[in-house]
Amino acid sequence: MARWYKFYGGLVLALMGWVLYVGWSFTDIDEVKQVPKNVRDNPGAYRAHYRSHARYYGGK
Amino acid sequence: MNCPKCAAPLQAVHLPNDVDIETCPHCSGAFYDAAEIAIPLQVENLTRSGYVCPKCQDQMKVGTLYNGQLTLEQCMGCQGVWFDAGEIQKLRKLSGVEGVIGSPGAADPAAPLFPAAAFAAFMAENTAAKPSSSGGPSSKKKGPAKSEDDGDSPVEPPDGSSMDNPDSYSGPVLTYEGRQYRHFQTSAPVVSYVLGEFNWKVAVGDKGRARDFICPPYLLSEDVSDGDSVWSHGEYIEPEEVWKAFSLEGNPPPRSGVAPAQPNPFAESFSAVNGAFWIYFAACIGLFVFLSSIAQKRPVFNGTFQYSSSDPEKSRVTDLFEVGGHTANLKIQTVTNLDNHWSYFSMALINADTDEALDFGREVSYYHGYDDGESWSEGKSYDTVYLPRVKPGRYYLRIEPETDIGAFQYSVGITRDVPRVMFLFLALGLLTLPMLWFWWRNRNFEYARWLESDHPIAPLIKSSSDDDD
Repeated sequence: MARWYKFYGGLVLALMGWVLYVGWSFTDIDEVKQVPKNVRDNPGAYRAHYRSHARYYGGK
Repeated sequence: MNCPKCAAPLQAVHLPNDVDIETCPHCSGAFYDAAEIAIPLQVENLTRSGYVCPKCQDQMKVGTLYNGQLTLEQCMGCQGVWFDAGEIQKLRKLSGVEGVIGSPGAADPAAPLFPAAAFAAFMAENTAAKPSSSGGPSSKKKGPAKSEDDGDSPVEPPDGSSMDNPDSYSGPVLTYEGRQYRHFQTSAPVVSYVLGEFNWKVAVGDKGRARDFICPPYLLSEDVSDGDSVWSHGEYIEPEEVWKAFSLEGNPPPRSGVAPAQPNPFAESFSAVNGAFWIYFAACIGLFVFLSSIAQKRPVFNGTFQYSSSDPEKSRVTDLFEVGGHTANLKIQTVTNLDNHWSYFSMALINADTDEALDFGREVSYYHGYDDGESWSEGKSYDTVYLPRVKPGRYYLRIEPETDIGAFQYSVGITRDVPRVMFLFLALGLLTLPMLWFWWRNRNFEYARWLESDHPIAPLIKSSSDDDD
């Protein structure tokens, strides 16, 4: 049982090191290839997938 | 009556030699009438003590005996004496009289301090057995013990006649053969019947005092009766072993509860896991500090933008910025001047060299007000997001806001390779969870063991009936 925990602890330590080093995060992102080259000159040439996301109309 | 030292209510205790005393269950002190001390007390250097006699409320004075080796309080009114915990034993040692409690003059100064010592030596050589109050049927016993504070001298007998059960408050620890024995229980057994052969006189109705100390799987017991103190040493034997030794058929009955000296099957694994846990705990913190120290934490872009609903194109793009180093995260912080409004930002981090994009969306909303006499607020006027595993290269950010307001201002700051303490806490939590399970198993076993001792372990969750009490 203790051997199992030592293995588990080593795994947690290694995982934490990898996550911190490569900057992994829980952020939900989409990877998109072949973005039009003229986006910098014409920002409207590309619409992000996240456009028109359900939004908050908040307030009490 | 209340304790003169700690003000706790005193308890009346009837001792076997028809002496009634008052003991303090809190500090283990005890009050004796003058007629309950069997030897004359030559108290010297009496001075005002500041304590009040629990019996007659007169002022008590503090004085010394045996050239200052013992200090105690005596009432100048009723002549009663207050003994702090352990002072009765000290009086026995200093006076050389075992029976210091009783009618004045009843003590025999010539009586040996420990009449049981010779018998204990006999026990050591012959490994004879004497039943213990809690040793159980599967304890084999041998030999005498020595107290922790006096390795070579005879064992200090319990103060069986001075107070109710001082062991339950002081929790003494003994050392025998290099092992530490914790006090488990002190009881007052009465012989109801005997079975077997005994090398001392025993009779139904005999009363004694038994103290059990444990260091699983070992048990150390002291039995005191008629001034004799007998120590026995036992070792827990598994039921199967007993069954086999007596060539009994079938299987032993299932265990019920936990015996005082029963080895804890979870102790070893808990100890090993606990040691590993703290090593990994420190390693996680050390690794985080190291990685934080080598992280770039370099700002790569900062810019401010205006949103206006009248603009035909509301999207904006940042200037190109260079992201260097190894694959790491990007921290993007958006700060707005929104006040009781919201905005949603559709964002895309685009690699200028590969035309690949990371699409994501963030919402910023900040509302506040004052209703029914109370102020309230919801949300924040800024947002922070960490983009994972961004490769080095030249990038720009496309930002497309949506909002319910005509115009507002927002600024975007981008920082490369920022360590996140959240993952340190997550790792520590992952390490702790299984450790808690090992701890819980070990504690449950020890809880069951000590439940009927003089030192029960407090339950993790108090029941409602306990609260009512």
